[in-house]
Amino acid sequence: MNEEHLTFERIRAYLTGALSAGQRSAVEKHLAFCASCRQAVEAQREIEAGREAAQSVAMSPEARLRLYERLNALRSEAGDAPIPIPRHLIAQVKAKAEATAQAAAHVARTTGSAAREIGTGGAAVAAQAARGAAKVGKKAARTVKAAAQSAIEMGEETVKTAADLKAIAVDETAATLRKAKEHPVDLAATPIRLAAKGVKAGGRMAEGAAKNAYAATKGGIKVAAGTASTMGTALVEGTKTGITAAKHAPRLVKAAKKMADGLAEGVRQIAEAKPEEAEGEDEP
Amino acid sequence: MTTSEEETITYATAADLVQALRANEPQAYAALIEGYADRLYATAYAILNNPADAEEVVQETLITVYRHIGEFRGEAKLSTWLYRIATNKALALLRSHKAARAETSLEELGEQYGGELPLGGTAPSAEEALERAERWACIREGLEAMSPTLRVVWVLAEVEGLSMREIAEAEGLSLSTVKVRLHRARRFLVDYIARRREAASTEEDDR
Repeated sequence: MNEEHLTFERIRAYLTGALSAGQRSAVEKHLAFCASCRQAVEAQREIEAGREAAQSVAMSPEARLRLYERLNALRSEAGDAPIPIPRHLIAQVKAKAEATAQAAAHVARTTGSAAREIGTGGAAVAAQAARGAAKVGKKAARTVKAAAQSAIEMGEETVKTAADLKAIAVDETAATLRKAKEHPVDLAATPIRLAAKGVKAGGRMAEGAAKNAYAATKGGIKVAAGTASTMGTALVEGTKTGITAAKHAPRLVKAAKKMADGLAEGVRQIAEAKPEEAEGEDEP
Repeated sequence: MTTSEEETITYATAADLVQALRANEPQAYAALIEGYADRLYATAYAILNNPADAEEVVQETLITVYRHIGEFRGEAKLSTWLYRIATNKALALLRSHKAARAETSLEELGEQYGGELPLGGTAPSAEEALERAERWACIREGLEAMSPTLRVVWVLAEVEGLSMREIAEAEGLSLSTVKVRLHRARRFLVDYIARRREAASTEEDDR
């Protein structure tokens, strides 16, 4: 009787291998022509996998530590002796915190060098614009000034972004390390806060780089356009600025990418932090 | 002294542990946490689908043990008592959320929680975590759509592996009620996921 749909008890038995050979082949015969029961079998398979995933859920070391601390706070109010916190748990949380600090340092280093690259790129464009301005003379001065202004804005933006990033990275790293030594429980929130700040800084940095590239190109084009009506040399110089800006654009993008990679690496380091990795290897 | 030089003491039987808890021995609470906190957390997480809420449930459960261990009667299993406290707290939290978030849509909740599974104590690799999260995503939607009373029974049976008798004891239900609810919960989940699969395959055919 293959017309009746399979009960889900039967499907479960089929999937767990609890059926006899005869029952099994009857189920398979039915499945061969019944799409809705095939869906039910697949659904049951999904449930089985989800069930295993749900079983493997465990508290994070930080959550476990908070549990000890919360109970101990109550015990201390009542004058009871504190619950001893297992050393391996503290080691685990510390290791994670140290990995976070290391990751922050890594991010700081990467963003620092990226900021330098952007700065150099901006300076090169500005220098070229200035050289162009000197040659073009009075008539094109206004347009060149616009280009120079773009270059200055670009430099300022770069410096601002770099300063922000450095402040965040240095402050957070110092605070994280300090807390790791003093009170491991406060650390629980630190990696998340740090990651959020890192990502935000990364976003600002990328935005800054894009803005810079745009400003530089705009500056170059303005010089080119403005000087086109004056004389040959002006045109050449303006174009040179444009070229310099364009030449630096990919470098800026690369620098931004490098920084994004640094952030990703930092997040990876935090996620994969294990106690045994905490002792030892310093980054070069 | 807050940290110990030795590893956590283990107790030969649950009855020994209960006795030490009654005597308010600090070590007994460490053993309780190391032995049961993960199970309670997984239970609460499967019911509430949110790490912060699950953590709160575990904390509140152990605080209840601390305050009321004197009222615990030895005829029930310690684990059953713990599950009872935890599921009650989880249901209460669910009710308070429902009241607070009456305006929030399911999609918004999904975004809020991001479908992420909390990382376990051993910090699995990124790939493992992702795989787990994907598998979990398959059923969490169905669980969320299920009524909380069915969900609790399903979680205790399927995630925690409790027998129907143990569930009946933990939840203060009759054995037949547990049977009916577990059956309905399993059916609901299969139907829900099968329907979703069908909808997905029809959508693909339409393209």
